[in-house]
Amino acid sequence: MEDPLTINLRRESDRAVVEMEGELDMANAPLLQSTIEGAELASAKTIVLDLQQLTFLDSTGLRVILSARELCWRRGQEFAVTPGSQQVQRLLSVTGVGEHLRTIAEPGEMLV
Amino acid sequence: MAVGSPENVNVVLPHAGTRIRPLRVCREEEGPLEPGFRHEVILRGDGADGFVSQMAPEETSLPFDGRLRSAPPEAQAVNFDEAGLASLRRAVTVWADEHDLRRASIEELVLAVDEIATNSIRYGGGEGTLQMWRERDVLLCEVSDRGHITDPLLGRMQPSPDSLSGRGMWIVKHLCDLVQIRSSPAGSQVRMHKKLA
Repeated sequence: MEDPLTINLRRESDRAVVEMEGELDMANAPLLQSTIEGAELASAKTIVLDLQQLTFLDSTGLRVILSARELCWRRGQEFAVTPGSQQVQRLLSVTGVGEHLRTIAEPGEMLV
Repeated sequence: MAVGSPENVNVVLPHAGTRIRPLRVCREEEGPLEPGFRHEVILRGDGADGFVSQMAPEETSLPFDGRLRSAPPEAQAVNFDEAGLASLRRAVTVWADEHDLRRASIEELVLAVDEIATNSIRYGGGEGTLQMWRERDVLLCEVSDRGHITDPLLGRMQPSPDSLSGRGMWIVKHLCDLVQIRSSPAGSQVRMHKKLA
């Protein structure tokens, strides 16, 4: 079976983009957790979680996204996400978290 | 009402509308209540006197007491654990699609089952069983595990946007047409109803 979640990291000058493809649940939440905690991301000024290729998210995955945001804030980094699939957006809206998450249309978009 | 005569008093708990019979009813001024018991203040209809009831701790699980009618023999059963969570979602997707549930509703049902199954893995002994069947125009998914749900307010209060946990049952209750919970020290069943139309 294919990997349920693939994470690609890329740097765009002082911005780190964490691109997630697949499904984020209890089984693979630790993969995102360790990526966020990794040294590669510590030097970036801005962290963007790119959810555009994320097809499934549950409350356990959401918890890791929110704890990633907390870590970024503690490190003095800006944090933003891009919108995910219909399912991902549904979860964000039913939990009321979506409107409190800084969301940009594209991973390269300026934060204002 | 005779003070100290529990047979004559019913207490309606603020949640689930469950009536229970308290072990003992007394006037507040009768002195300290026994530790380890749950206490509820009862106000009499005429507003005259306040009473305090004592309920044994094990009675606080009553909101989820009782049994549901068993799943029918034709129900499709899938066992799951953490490694099987993604396969479980596939199974629900395929099954709900066969019953022509519309796309957005399938995603909601799959998420609901995933949340309850995640709770089974985390709190219910690491594994569980999903049963799926149809009753007229309703699809039913029931997750059973060895966990014991004791919080009567589970999923009834919206977590704050910054909260890191406690969202699972809140989500499930919002995505399903009906959620039935039964739980005892022997295990739990969470039955989710999703209408086809």
